[in-house]
Amino acid sequence: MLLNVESVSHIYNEGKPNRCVAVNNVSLQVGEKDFLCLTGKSGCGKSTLFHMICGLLPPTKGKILFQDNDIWRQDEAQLALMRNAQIGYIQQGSGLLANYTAFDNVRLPFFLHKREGDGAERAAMLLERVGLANKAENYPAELSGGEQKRVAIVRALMNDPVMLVADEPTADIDEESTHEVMRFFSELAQEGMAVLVATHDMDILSYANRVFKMKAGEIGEE
Amino acid sequence: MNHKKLTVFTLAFENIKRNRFRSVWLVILVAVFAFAIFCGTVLTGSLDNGIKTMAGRVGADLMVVAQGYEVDLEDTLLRSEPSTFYLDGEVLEGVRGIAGVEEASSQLFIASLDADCCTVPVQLIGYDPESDFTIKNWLVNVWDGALGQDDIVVGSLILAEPGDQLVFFNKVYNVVAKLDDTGMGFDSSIFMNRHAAQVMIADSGRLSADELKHRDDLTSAVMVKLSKDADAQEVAAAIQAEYPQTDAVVSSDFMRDIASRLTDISKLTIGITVLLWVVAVMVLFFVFSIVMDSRKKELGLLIALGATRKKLARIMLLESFVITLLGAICGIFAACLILFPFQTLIAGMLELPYLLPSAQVIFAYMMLSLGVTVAIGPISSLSFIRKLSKTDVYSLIKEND
Ligand SMILES: Nc1ncnc2c1ncn2[C@@H]1O[C@H](COP(=O)(O)OP(=O)(O)OP(=O)(O)O)[C@@H](O)[C@H]1O
Ligand SMILES: [Mg+2]
Repeated sequence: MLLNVESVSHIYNEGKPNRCVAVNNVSLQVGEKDFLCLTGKSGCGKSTLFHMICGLLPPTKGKILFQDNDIWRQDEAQLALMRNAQIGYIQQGSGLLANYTAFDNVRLPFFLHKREGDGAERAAMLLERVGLANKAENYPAELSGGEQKRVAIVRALMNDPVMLVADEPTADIDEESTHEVMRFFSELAQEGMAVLVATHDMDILSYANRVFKMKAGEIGEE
Repeated sequence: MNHKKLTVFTLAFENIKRNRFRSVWLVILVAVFAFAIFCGTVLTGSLDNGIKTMAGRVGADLMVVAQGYEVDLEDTLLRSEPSTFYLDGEVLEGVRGIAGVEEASSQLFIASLDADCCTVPVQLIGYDPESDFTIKNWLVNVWDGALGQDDIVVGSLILAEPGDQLVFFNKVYNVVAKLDDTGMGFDSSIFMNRHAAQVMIADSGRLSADELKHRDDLTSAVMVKLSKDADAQEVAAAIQAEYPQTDAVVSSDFMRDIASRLTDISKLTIGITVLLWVVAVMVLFFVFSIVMDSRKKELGLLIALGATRKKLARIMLLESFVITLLGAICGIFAACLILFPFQTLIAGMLELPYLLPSAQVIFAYMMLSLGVTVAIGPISSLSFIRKLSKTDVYSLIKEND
């Protein structure tokens, strides 16, 4: 199993009056080629779960095995390398670095660890694939919301990760682009990548081979 | 398309370039503080140095001047305010006869000669090389000849070098030596044979021939050295009893008076300078921390993309180092442009003994100011990154931009 989430919980503000159980005892297995959609009402804990899976937020309870490694028992360097090379994460909202062009934003993950080359060819190919070749030299402030999102999507693919985790990737793009992106994700899944998508958009659930629904921190497969 | 590799350097420079407004203001802020602490330290050091040097300068235990001229004497010693004051010539011999006096030598001060050599009015001091025991000490390091009637010794601010000739009232004088900086009035004084000085007074027409006839041994002050066991106050009283028209100034009192006044000023400036350093360090540290705090999301995004905190630290370190280095160099360079060319102007404005410390000391001040202002940005950035959670990246990237 590629990803094994074992009875994971996350509690915000433990011990304080505003204590919040965002994720409650969630278990989940994801294999290669899985295309998984996660839905649920706003505030049900989707983003929190994704952050724990991507090594950005430690769980309060339970463990997460990625390629049979407990990701939260790795040291900082291993964790950084996992974030960089193995998991592509697309965050909710805009996550581009304002100081670099679209092209450099896409290339950036390539340079955060030692690698040969300049990543230019792959970055150009990826931008081309989402129809943004002509915007490569634009800074994020010079891109529309949907264009920014597409740059963030291909940036997550820069280092050819084994798993792609996308938190509402189609929230601010039109219907046509939404389906393009989902088709793109399907292709990636067919090529062997595990794809996890959190979404409110019921229309796109059909692209997934598995659909999960979260409710007040708990998860169930549909 | 630009295929430059995204190294720590390119990332840091891109950050600086893309935030030009922030970068420029940070550079200016660092420059202002570097300027302030370097100037403050040099000024304080120069005052301290001037005061210390002055204390060792007056080689006489007592100074006898015409009654009421004590203030003029102070002006002559401390600043470049030339004065002329005369004493009856017979006083010298009389003083020599008084019990407790070991040596006495007269000096003649001539005020305010507007000479070609100098932008400031020059004070001429005539002394008697035979009996002199004060000026001799200052000459020890620079000259050991015998002062002829046409020879002069110049203070450090006089624009003449040994071997040059200067003309006063149509008479040519040979510059035989130049004194070191003292930070006192002597720096703009010219020393010559007392007899030659007297001739010059006659030539200048400052005193009428009639007056001069009765005063062929003009004296401004008699410098007195006491024998070992003599009491300065007693001897001063004895002199004043003998010559009621004089003031016998005990130079230790005189100097102590001036020195204590100056030491108070110097303490104050040291205090202000220390305060300046503390404020500079605190403000710069604070400002750099705020800048880092405002960049939390940017830092979080980099971590989420797989940057280690070490990598992050390298980028931020380079960024803040470039900014602080640029600022510190600009600030200290500007300070040098003011401190050194306008040295005499500053000394004149302060009206205090002001003497730049040695080049090594100034260099040390410079390195200290540079080092501290350059280091604060990187240190503050680094400590911010160290405080960032290793694991909870989520709270960083969730920050609203
Ligand atoms: N930093 C935090 N501190 C306290 N509570 C938090 C924090 N972040 C999220 N929560 C709470 O945790 C719960 C789950 O939040 P989460 O962001 O995971 O929801 P979500 O399912 O992604 O919602 P959405 O669809 O709106 O993005 C919410 O009730 C939220 O109020
Ligand atoms: Mg969410």
